[in-house]
Amino acid sequence: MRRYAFFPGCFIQVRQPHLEALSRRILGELGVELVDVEGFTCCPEAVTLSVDKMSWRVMAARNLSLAEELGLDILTLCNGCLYTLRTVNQELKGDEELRGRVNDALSVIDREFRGLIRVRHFAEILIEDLERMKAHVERPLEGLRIACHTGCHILSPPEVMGFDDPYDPVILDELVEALGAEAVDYDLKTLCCGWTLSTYGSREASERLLASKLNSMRRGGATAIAVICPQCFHQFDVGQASAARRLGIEYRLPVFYYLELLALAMGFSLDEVGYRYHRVRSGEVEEALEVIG
Amino acid sequence: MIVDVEEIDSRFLRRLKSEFDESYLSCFQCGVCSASCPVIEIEGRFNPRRLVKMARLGFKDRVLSSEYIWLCSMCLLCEERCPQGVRIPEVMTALRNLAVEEGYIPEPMRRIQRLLVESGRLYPIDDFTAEERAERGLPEVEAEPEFVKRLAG
Repeated sequence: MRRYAFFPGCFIQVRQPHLEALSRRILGELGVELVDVEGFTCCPEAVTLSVDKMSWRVMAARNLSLAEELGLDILTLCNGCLYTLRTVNQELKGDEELRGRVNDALSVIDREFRGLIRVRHFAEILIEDLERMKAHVERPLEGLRIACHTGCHILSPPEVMGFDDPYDPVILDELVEALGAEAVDYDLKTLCCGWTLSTYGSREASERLLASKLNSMRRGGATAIAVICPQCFHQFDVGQASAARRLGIEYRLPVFYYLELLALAMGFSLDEVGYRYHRVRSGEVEEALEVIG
Repeated sequence: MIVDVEEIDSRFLRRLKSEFDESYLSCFQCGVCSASCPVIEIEGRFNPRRLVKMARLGFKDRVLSSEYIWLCSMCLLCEERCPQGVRIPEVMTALRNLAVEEGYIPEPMRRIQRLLVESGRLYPIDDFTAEERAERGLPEVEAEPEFVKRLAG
């Protein structure tokens, strides 16, 4: 199926409209049809489950029911949205008692979760049809050495997420290499980016965690980072700038949302992919792209 | 850790069992979770093994009032590695939910909740962003989803 109920997620919609616009354009060029659904709310993000897990489920189930009504699978741009929607979808499909309780809550707005659809992440769609994507690569990104950060919430638990091995994730590396770039290996590959910690735990702690990660990527010889989640993106971009200031170290590792890299490989310029909106930029990356032309 | 039996509240254990799968209490304190935890590296006082033990013992007040239950970054690495199949992040979530019920809620979480009640969005949309979205031809974002406001309230 190449037609999806599009779930951009509220973070990308509000904080990174340029990524949303680019994602729509690139997925469109690959023949993926994105249907906008009126009434989608926040997935909701996992921090809300800290306060009340039941409301988290009800909100997610309401979103799922909207896509069910259209008979479309959901396509997300975000690991967090994927985690919430896929977890709740599976939980409610398999637990009648829980589904009953959630549907009771939904009945006040005349909605019902029925368990009819699947929830997908754009990276899954791409890897499943790698040849189709490769056919669009016009400018292989030779010379870019990229550290891949898959992100925690698309990996665990694998029996629900089913994307990649949480101990040794390689799918994103495969996607990056399909663009002609080099995916570098590094020791702290499965370490969390620290984003969630920065939102309610401790920003300072989150930056120290990020610093370990960035150091490891540097040791691996990376000149840039690839992610498939807007919040990991934010942490590696804005978080990196802030960590660099606080800790007095310049990492200079620009992060790219995977679809930005794909756009570059399809021939888009740095300007067209929105590189000017990145907080962390580096001459090294700009030069590598200039050499490719 | 000194165990003061007067601190134990057996009702708390019963409550926990209703919050998640009972097998999550089968922790045998091997410490793989703490050894795997990236947060410990940067905040040595955070210790998931210890929190699970305290919960298991029924130290209701001590656990629920602990600021450390809020430090888990939900990276799920411990859950991946636990040989007993204990989903520690789910234990943390249950502890947080119960802490909120008891009125222990850290200020950042309180702000997040207030945001949801007031605007129905974790990331409220301002005029500047709404304008940028329009310029890029992106669909309008519902400013204040009523259902979310009601649910959060």
